[in-house]
Amino acid sequence: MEVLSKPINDGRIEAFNVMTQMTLKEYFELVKDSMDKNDLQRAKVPSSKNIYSLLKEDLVMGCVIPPIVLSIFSAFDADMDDEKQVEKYILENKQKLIILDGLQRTFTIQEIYNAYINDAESKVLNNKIRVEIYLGLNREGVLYRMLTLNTGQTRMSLRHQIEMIYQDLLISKEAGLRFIKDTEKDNKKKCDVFYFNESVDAFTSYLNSDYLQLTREKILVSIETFSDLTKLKNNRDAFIDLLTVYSQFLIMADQCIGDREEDIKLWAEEQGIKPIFGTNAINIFNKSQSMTGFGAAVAKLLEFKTYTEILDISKMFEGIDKQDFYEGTTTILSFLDWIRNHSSKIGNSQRCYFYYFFRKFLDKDNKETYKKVGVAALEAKKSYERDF
Amino acid sequence: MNYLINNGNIEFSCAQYHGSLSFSISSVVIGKSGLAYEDAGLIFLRSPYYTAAINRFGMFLDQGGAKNSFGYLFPVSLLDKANEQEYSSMKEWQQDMMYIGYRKLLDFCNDSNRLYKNGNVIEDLDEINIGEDVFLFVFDKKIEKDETKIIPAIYDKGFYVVNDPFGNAELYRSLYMKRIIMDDQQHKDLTLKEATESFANFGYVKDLFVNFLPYIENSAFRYILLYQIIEYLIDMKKNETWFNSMNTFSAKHSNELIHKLMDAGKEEKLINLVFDGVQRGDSIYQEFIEYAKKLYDEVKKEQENGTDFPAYMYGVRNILVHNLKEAIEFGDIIKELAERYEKIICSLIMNVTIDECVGKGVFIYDMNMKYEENVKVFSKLFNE
Repeated sequence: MEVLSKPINDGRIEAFNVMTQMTLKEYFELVKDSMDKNDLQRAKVPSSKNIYSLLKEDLVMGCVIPPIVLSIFSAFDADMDDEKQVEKYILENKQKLIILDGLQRTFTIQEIYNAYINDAESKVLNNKIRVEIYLGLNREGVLYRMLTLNTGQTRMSLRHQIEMIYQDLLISKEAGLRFIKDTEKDNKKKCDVFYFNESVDAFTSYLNSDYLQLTREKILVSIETFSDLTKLKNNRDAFIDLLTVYSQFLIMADQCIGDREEDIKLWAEEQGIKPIFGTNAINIFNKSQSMTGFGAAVAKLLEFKTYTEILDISKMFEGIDKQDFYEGTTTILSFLDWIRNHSSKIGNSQRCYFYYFFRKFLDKDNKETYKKVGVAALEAKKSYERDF
Repeated sequence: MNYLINNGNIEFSCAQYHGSLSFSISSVVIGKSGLAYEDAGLIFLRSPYYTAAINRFGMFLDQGGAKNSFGYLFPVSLLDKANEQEYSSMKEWQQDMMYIGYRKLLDFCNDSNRLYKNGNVIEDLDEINIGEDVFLFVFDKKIEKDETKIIPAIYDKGFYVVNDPFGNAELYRSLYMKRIIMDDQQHKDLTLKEATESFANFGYVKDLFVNFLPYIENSAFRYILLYQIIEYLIDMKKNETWFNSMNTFSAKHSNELIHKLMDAGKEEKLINLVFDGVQRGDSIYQEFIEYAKKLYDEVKKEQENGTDFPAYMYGVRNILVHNLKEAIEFGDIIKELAERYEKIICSLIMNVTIDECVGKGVFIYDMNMKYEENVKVFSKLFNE
């Protein structure tokens, strides 16, 4: 590996960038460990009928391709500007590598590597490529760079990008929360056990103050004025805070209606409602619809300075009237059922409803609806009907 | 196009590019509907009445009293991520039908160059900008090869067949239809009835239901367009009645035959023949007559040629054609009439019978031949 430049400071994301040059062999050996252990990695695009098969031929012939972009999640000392030191830092931290741009190219290089590694005479693996590496990048910076770089031939889905960045949460038991992938069917959601993809939905809703799931067009439009970067830089890990508070909400909800499941079923039967949405605290509220509504509402309340930080919200869950919570829940369920019968995008409409619900329920400046589930549920319905 | 389901995504590829769309149908369901991809047909529909994603229907076809399972109808919005929960709760055969419809839709988008946008392969159905009111009707082509035959029945159920699902022209909303559909919301199956065979060859039927009625707001114009079906049937019936008149003629004088033919060819009589054998017990006929009477009163006309439905239908047609300047002020009444009339015409197309003798009677008749000779030739041809 040859470090071609001194680290340049990226003022936007507060990280350092160096340009390096290495052989295909060096490159693949540098990244292969991080590729193998990453189970969230996007599937490889079959190469028989696409542009990547052409790329493979080009690479074998020694064609120079645009630089691949990597990043390393590890603190980087700004004074470390000696090329040898930088190289040492990269090699020491190769376990913390993430491919920001060039995943499909790396797959192609992997194919070449496997084909030629045992061929001692071939010089193909000595062909050089350029690799740009971000040093000392934090998660938020990775997210920002991925969004701005990843616009190539095969783009990574947005959720995929975010899931990759937050993948270590899947295994770590930080803050007592647990996140499971929805393919792990043996695990059930609880007050502190969430589906990972739904948690990511909630977090992106928080980042964008928008209860809708992100679409690519939306993100591309907002990318140039990525105002959320300041929000991202917040010292606290917003993801964990948001889910911690939500977990506390679920615990409170479970205390209020945990023993009323039969009552809810009976009520639904009397009303002629199919309780498809749920009958207990977990299956009503531990869902993407409710969580994205919550995320967007929290972002809005922070923007209005109702709360200064996310964790402040958890204090309000004390002293909620149990009967009011039960009645409010039935109001919510009946409206969710109405939405199901009238909306063309059921999930989005339900998200919108939950957004208004949480905004009213958590808004301590609004004494009419603050901590009052029943009133908040009705007021949310009015706001929803105005919006849709 | 080639498809592959991988982790809830549909991966598609063709010669120029490769992409993948997020989609939550798992691979297990494939084949559960028993309908092979090659045997499946896809018709694009739009509806001004059905808006919820849960509006989906198992489709049946009534073929001479036998009710055959025929296909599946679902809104394209059901494929949206926001309805993930809804489609994961569906039965496997329904999911399979949806998957077939989805692939057919992608094929259509590929053929019309919509999968590649701003230099990138699209990854989300939202990026195609297909309207939320679009429905996909996946059906078994082995059961019905001729799509034209079912178009009137589809229209009658509140769905408009469209050639281009990306068109976003405003659709006509019939208040009468809306009331029927509101009463009938719980329906989960729809049964279609085929039009008679001769109609399938009549191009105007398709034009009427696909290109005209969904987009025309003016009720008087709608009525006149619908009446063209009657004009066509009158022609058919004229042939039929002439043939019958000649075949049963027993008098000696040919003048008598001419009188009989002239009498049988009168428009009012032919209209009655058109509705012969068509059940008219439905209250809609009575409602039509009531509104027709109101219109007669408003334009100060009297009904002289009978008090049954065909007479009023013909009368309203005459008012619209000959007295439009007086009638135009009573748009509300005309709207009520036209909205009932379109239901009646749909039902007529599905039930009217036309004898096999079409064209024969007129073709054989020769004034220079003796009566006996005519009967002989006639009888020979008729019995063949």
